[in-house]
Amino acid sequence: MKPYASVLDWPILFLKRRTHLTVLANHRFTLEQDKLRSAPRTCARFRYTTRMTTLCIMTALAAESRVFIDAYKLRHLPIRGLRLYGSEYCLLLQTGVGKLKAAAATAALLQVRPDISCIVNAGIAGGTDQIGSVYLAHRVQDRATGMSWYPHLPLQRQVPDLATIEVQTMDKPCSTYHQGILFDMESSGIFSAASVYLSTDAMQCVKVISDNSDQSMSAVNSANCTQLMNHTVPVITQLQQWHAAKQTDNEFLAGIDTAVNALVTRVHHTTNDTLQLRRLLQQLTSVTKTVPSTVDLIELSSAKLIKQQLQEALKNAPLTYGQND
Amino acid sequence: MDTLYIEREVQTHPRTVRICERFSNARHIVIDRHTDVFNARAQNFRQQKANPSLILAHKAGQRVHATPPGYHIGGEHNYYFSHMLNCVYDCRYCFLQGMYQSANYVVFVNSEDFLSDITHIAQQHDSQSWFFSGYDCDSLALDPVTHFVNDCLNHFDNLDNAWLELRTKSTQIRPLLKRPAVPNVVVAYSLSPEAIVADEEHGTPSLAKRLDALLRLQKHGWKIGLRFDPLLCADNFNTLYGDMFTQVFQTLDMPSIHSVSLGVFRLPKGFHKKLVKLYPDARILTAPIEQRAGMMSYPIETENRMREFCLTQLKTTIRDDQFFPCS
Repeated sequence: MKPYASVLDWPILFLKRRTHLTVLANHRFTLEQDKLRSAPRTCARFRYTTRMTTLCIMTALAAESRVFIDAYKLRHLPIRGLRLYGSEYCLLLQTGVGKLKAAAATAALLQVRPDISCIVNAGIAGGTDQIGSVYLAHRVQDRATGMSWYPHLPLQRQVPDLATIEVQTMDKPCSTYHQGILFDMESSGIFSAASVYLSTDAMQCVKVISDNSDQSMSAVNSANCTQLMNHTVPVITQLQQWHAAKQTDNEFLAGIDTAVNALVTRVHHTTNDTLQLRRLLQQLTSVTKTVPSTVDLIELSSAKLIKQQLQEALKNAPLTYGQND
Repeated sequence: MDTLYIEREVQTHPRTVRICERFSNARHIVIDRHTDVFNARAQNFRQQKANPSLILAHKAGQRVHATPPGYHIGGEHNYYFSHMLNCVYDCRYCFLQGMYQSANYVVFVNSEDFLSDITHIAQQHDSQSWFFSGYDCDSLALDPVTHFVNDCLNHFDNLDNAWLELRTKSTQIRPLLKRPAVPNVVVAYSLSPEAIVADEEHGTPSLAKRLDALLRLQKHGWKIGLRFDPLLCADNFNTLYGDMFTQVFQTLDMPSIHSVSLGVFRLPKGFHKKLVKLYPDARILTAPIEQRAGMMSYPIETENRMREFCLTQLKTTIRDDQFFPCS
């Protein structure tokens, strides 16, 4: 058993700030949720230091997970209460069956893993079309409450030949099928929980038809479920690529984050000081096109002096149009 | 357009059918209400702006609204309406980014209801009423899709006591050049110095192209308006705006300009906060700014200096009756 990281260990973790949390977990630490929760500053630092693109696939059943574990070479990650698998840039959470379990697991994971920037719910569903047809959800609706979510869809050329459809989440398995609607039991729970943490472009739902009016749900077993899920793997890969391509602002923000982290670890900053520091660094970087050097700033003894120096620098930085370009 | 959301209510409306035919390769998704998609929480405006969807909807309730105080060009009764929500352009200073959750475009296809409301309001007043289009969208930019402008111009051509202002940055002026000028319609262009257009008004036509469009409209007999709004603070403000005024004065026939207005950059506090979150790297947000009466704007001395400079320049070529300080 690898040792848990204590909150007192954050400087060691911090030294690995450019490293992904999964790598930390795999190599040395396993992050203990309770301790992280009780140390908001540490959590905040993790948030700053792990601004990387991590996609998390959400499935309900082991039979749905298997293909992704094999395709993406995922390893089991020990986090209490969650069935989680991961590699460097991809995670898989197996939530269990039903929207409540799905919501609870999603919320728990997103709370402790702020580095997750996108989730995709992948699984089997009932519909009227041919068994094995794969769809991307353009609407996820909770049948019981009527609540709906509309994921912001990728361009068609980014997911070629992939049709979209409405997915309705039922409380109980359903054997009545309707044209243009797929039935599942988890997606609304996942979307409900994930929408607290992520935006609509970062939540997608991919379903493969496992049962229809010709072939009932009772015919679905572990083996053919895994076989059906194979059809979704290329789609998940396309979504992952689409999501990675739209992370355009990372460089600017990552540079600022590094500077902020360098300063707040050496000079005491309150939360408000940190926010002001971040904004001043952003402004100065926008005007000068380079992240200010922190070498001289670190020598200053207080957050107030750093702030004053940055304000002065911003005041003196020329804000001109048409001359620097 | 890659994705069209279509309200069930307007699925068979002739304009919906025409727009759907135009985008026959797009995904067509039927929805109950446009607000379900447009007002949904947790949307990423910046990501959507790169890949916006089109929402075709029915506008119910109040369609024509009274303008905020001070928003007029000399008329006594002033109203605005938006046949569309959101703009195809991506101006870094735009208040729409702070106002809406979504960057998708909403087009209200029931334009006949807008026009009948305008007639009804105009008939309530003895004196002239002004109707401003382009408050929540650009009036012309998406006209090849909506075809709203032609219907609107036909309507105002037959309205005696009402004026229309079409506010735009677009050079899509073909529908205006195809027909005789309508005497009670003003085509007003927002103008900024070329360097600001390049840096802050992403996706918009250059100043030169806008001036070219203005000149063609002017020659065709349309009344035109110039809107220097928003004025943006810069260390080389005088050079930037001085050069722009020279270019404008040299291109257009200034005495025949219908109206000129100018306004300094300002945003409600909440919108400004959202803008900082959306675009932390925006240069426009690095200038000193302060809160006054719930609005974020430049310090009063900066504002006065900018306004004074522009006024001095404008007064050399325009008459007092052409000028309106803030639109």
